[in-house]
Amino acid sequence: MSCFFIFIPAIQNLAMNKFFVFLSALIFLASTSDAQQERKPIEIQAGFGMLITQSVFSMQNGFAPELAVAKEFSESLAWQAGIRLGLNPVLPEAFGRLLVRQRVGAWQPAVGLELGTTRRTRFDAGKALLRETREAMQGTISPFYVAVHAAPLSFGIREKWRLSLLEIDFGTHFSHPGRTLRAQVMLVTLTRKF
Amino acid sequence: MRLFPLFSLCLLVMFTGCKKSEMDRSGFERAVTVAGGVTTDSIMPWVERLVAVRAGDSPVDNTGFSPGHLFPSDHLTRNASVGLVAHAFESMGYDADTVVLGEGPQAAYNVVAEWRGTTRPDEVVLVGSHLDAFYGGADDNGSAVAAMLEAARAVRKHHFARTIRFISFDLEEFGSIGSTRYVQAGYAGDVKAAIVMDLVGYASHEPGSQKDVMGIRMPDVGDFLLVLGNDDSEEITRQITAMGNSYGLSKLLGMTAPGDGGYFLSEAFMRSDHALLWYNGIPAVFLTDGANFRNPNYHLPSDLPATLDPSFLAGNTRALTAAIALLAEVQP
Repeated sequence: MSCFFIFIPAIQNLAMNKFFVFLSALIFLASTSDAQQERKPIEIQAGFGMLITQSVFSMQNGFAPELAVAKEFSESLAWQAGIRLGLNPVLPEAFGRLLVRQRVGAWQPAVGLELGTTRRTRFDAGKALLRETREAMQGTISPFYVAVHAAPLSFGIREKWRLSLLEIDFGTHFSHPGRTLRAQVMLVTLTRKF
Repeated sequence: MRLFPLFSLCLLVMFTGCKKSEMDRSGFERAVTVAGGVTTDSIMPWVERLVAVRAGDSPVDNTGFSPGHLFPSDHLTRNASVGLVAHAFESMGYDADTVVLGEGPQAAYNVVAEWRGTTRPDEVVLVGSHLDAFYGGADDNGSAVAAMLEAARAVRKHHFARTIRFISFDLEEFGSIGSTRYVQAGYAGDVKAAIVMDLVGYASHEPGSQKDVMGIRMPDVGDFLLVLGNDDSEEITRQITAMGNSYGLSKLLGMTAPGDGGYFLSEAFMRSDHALLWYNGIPAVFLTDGANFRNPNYHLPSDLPATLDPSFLAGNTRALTAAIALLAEVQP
């Protein structure tokens, strides 16, 4: 057999569906594991990082400040909603996240799913070479994306604050998963509870 | 602790369910007989004629396409090639049609010729190779145009269930403009399978002559033809590769890109006229000798007929002809 095959499981349709099932189950287990439900504070968080968007014949990157509001459902489950500016050029994105958080003393790592909307695959039509092909390829890409989110270096500071370093997002647009990829590294994110 | 079994279960689910079907070889024998009609001696003269007419042709207006490294945009010609290819088809008995797409100095002139199918004429097998070239363009893309013309001559002796549509696309070097406009204009709606070629005549038997393609590991010796497919064309990629190798038509290496081929790791596979066919879900295979990952004359004035390997090109032409016969379903 002279054929060999390239396989990228994380961006295959089938694998993505299974991933959603996995994540849903994870969230369900986490949400039911908290015995005591109590009133949780609203959180405001601000972060600054870098965003890279890749599609065929096209790659853009730039700084990406973001602002979000968050609230915990329970000790280990939280939602977030926010906007991201995405500079160079300025193209706002809106996103929502569902996170599972583990607390080990001050260390509070989290992982979850981000859904959002963006036009960040369609703005770089200036280069003549491959422009027509690229525009034709990108024409059917939806504005909605899905990404996995991880905050491995998140630390609670006293009662009211949380500092997170190197949060990572990795995702793709809903239509034609894998045709676009987006990677984001939030260098620093600061959260205040109210 | 309670998450561990669930995590393991999900991993198991994610990595199971891979599909792999038995390859259909039923049409191989008959398809290979069509390849027997390829006349080896007539292929290189097509390359030489293309290189010769390009030498006297005027360059295409390159406004908007600044010259750069391996992109001599001020040395791209196509007018003389359009005339030569159209005349070649006509001389074989085809009704060649020049489809003009776009306006202005960078309008695309695609030359189209069809061999109509007998039982399912509305199903089309597209065979494409671009006719525009930098400098003489013996390998890029005189070799593929020559292979296509010889295949067109060979298939005229047979009848097929499906229609075979030969297209010499224009302005591939400026970003697959001719093929993009062709697909966008809706002309590919009846295409059931496609074979697109770009550089199929350069080979080397020296160790180290084949470079890896943007991180994708390749054999060390550049003496094979790449047959590239995607999910939609995986089956025909496997068939064409197996048929060509098992019948000794040429030395073929098949590869498939994931999904529709547009993932960032497989971007190198998208660099020709098959790209928009892949994106529109049309099963298409791309044949190439590896371009700049093998041929040191890529996009240079030294891309001349003497640098090609005539026996390699002839073998690839036979493999192409058999592939066309297989996909178009040659009739008894």
